[in-house]
Amino acid sequence: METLMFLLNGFQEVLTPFNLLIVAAGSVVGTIVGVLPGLGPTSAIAILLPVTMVLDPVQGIIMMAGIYYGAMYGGSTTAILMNIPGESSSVPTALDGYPLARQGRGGAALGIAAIGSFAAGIFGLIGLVLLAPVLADQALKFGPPEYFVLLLMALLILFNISGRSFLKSVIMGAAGFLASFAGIGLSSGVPRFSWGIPVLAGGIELISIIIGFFAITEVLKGLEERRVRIQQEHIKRTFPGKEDLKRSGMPIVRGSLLGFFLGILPGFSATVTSFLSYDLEKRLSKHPDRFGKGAIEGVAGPESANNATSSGGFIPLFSLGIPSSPPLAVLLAAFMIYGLTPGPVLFEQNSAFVWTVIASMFIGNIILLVLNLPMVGLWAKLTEVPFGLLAPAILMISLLGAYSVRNSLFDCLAAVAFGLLGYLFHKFQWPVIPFILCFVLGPKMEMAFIQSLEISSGSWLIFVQRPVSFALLVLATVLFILSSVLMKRTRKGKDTGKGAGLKERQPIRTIETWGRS
Amino acid sequence: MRKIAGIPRKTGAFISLFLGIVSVVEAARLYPYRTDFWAGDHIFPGLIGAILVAAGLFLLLKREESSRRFVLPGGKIGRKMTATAGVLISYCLLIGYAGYVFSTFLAFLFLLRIIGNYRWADSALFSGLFTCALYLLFSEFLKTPLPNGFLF
Repeated sequence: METLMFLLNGFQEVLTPFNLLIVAAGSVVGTIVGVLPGLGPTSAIAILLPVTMVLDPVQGIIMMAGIYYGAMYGGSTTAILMNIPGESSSVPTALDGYPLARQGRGGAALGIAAIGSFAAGIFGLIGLVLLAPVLADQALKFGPPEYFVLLLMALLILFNISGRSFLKSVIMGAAGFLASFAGIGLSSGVPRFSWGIPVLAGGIELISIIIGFFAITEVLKGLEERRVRIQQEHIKRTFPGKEDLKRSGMPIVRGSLLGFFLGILPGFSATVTSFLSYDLEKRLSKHPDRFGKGAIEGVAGPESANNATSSGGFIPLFSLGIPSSPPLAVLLAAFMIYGLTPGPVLFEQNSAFVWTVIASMFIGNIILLVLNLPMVGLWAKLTEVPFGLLAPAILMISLLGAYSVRNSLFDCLAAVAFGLLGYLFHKFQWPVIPFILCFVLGPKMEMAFIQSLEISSGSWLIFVQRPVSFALLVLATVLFILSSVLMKRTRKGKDTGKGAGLKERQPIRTIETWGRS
Repeated sequence: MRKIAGIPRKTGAFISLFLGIVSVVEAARLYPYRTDFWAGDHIFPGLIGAILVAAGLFLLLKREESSRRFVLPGGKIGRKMTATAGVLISYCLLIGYAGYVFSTFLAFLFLLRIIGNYRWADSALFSGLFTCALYLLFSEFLKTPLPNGFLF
């Protein structure tokens, strides 16, 4: 009951003309950026983050969340119409969505994708409303040892699913920790890792890393892939027929349930759940041979699972401060830049803020559905923006965005340096997500570790002697093994996907270090 | 196109070893500021340094998993990418001296030429428009004090 009251208050806050405008702007901008060639949700949030800094934290995060789910939706549009999945999680959508588009039923596929995304999104949000406060309440009982083990668990599992080599992920994560050490020491207040260089004593700015790794690297990748403009299939009717709706009903329900419940757990990215959903629908179908040739269930299930996982991912983010996907890792960074710390105390200290953001997501999902179905044709036209115009604009917005946070030219140079490094990391398959996660979570983890050992007078046994931290260690092991097995299966599925005819010259626009893409 | 096999792994391993040693040395420097042997600003850098050294050694000794060769772009694309990076670095260095308007106009001009292959006249036109649009966005809307140089 109390939760409902909080949510209603959230709606009251968000239903002001300006906040509604912000939600709508976020959703639309997200969709536009998601549709544009070369940009996915992570890059979209990274590029637009500095631009939202003028807003207050509530409006800024509302806009960021809108950009996130708008970009997720935009990604599925390109998957269906052009056979170019916006994210690796949209690969299963392309497997049947593109054949449908080629049969002249692209509109129906887009309609089902929008309806499935909406239903799963709302289902995920209801789960978020019900579960996040409970989880946060339990997490409040955590002491530093439990919190340290929780963060360690999340990092280990996320390392395991990032990139092809666990060892490379560990090295990248450790490098992220090193970068986070630059500045003033947490315990002594003594400068460290600055070697007398004044700009390093102020620490490395997170926005420079994010802009470098995602925006600048993305443009360099685009240059290499010789992106130009993309041709698409004709759309025709946007609304699905009765038969399509009937066939998609159960896949949407199953996809939503599967995506949501697995999405809560760290290590189960939207890529994994969307492939699992596709596999499930194919197994349950009376005509599995239709899959890959234009089965609407092959669009409905994975799209629902994808969006339910995205919404479910907000639960560990809000209640524990743990991001479960790259866009959420960047969103976590946005929280930090706004001076907010996601985690158990967020519900206690910034209750009004959290509930306004959650309420805005309900509104955002409705806006997306209402706007996107009739405007699919317009979004598709956006893919024709030439890369030659888009790339310089992205680069300059990114550099000025990096500069605007501290008015520092060092941050601009750092963004370029991280951009060049990011390209090399991408090229040689060194995953960047562990670096970012450790950079963001590093100070928290270090503080929890120091406090734990101060409590135990230096005994490391504290991490196994306390029941909750011991249970978390056991859970970490189980999830680690489970996610390894599922990722192997997902890789196989993706290989099949490529075999089924995804465009060769148009690589999946993904932060490819996530989910072994 | 330059094909590289094995080198990135070894380079990564050596960089990991180097960073690990740097971290351990810094941890040793911070050791006197500790509150306890296991508590202080030295402990995490020390642990992370040890992990980096160990991981670097593992990577160095690990057998090559596949014969996959990494290809770095060469030719026209390689030159385009290098030129783009050059423009970005020059922009960061120039903007403090020449100011926002001049340096941004120049950076856009060259980026449009390099990436988009537009003619000089078209590039200049788009560059002027982009420079004005970004000025409005950052200076007027976001109230960011953009650098003033010797020109503007």
